[in-house]
Amino acid sequence: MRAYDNAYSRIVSWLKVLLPLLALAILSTLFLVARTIDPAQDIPFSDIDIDELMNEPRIGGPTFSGMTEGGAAFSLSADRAVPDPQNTGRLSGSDVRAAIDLPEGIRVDVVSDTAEIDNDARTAGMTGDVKIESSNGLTLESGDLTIDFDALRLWTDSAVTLTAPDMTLDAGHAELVSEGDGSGPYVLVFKGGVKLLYDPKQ
Amino acid sequence: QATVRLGVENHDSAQPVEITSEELSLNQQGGTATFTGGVIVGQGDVVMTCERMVVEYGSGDEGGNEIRVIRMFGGVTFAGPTEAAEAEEAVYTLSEDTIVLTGNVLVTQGATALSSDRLTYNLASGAGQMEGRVKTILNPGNN
Repeated sequence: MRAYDNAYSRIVSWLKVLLPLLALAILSTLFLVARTIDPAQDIPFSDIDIDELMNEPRIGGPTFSGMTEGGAAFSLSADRAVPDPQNTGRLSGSDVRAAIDLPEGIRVDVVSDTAEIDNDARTAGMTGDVKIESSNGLTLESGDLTIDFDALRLWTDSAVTLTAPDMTLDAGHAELVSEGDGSGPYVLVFKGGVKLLYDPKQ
Repeated sequence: QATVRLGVENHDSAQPVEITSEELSLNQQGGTATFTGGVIVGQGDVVMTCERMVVEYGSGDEGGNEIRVIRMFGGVTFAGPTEAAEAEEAVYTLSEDTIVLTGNVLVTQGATALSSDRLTYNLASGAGQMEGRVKTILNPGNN
């Protein structure tokens, strides 16, 4: 390196040597600090689902719909349904939703945790905080509900609570049945002791 | 013709109504609710009981259900804070605040009792109008 008389040139000549060395040092550490990649953890999957899938046949999101003699269209769907091994006509479903359009234009929506659907008898036994909402503003809650799709009769065996815009009602059990042969007006009958509170100012 | 006071002045028929019975059948289309079996209706300090009661309701102005007429059949009793009345049938129209009791009506006020065919009772004014073969039964009782 030629000797320079002024400081500036000396500094620059030193930098010309030091800076490349620094660059080389940084470059070499690049490969030492790399992320460790563990091939096994790349694809997240759960083995529980596979075991369950393997040992029980089931249907995802089944829907079951039809029309009763009285002319009411109904549909029933569940998130998951497992057919009953002994009797193929029976299924037990979870997170079940049923929708029934009564002939007089009222739509009844039912939601429940579980349901035993019997294809041959065309009934559905729903259990696990059943919630029934009708399009004219009535909401019923009960522990269970049985729907007979043929005769289009719905009844609960456990206590039922009905809430409407300004009325609440508690009863032993309830039954939705059509007077006459199925096309008559639908009457909601509460039995086993009825207590109703009607508050117009609510 | 006799007037009777049932001691229920300015009864507010918009108070909450509490009804208990054995059974209830709700006909949404017809807008009627029929209570059967030991029906007890409480509103404020007025209590009425009967065997069968038909409540006619319609859609109220703000959309909720509004009770319009209550008809009661079979051993109707009406108890205000101080007096009581009995009859075979009763019709309570909320909009006019009136109860019409018919069928050998018997009103008991303390020691005296009045019977007639019909009692029209206005809950707002607290005045009752008895018509048809009015008989007063004074009970000398203790003197």
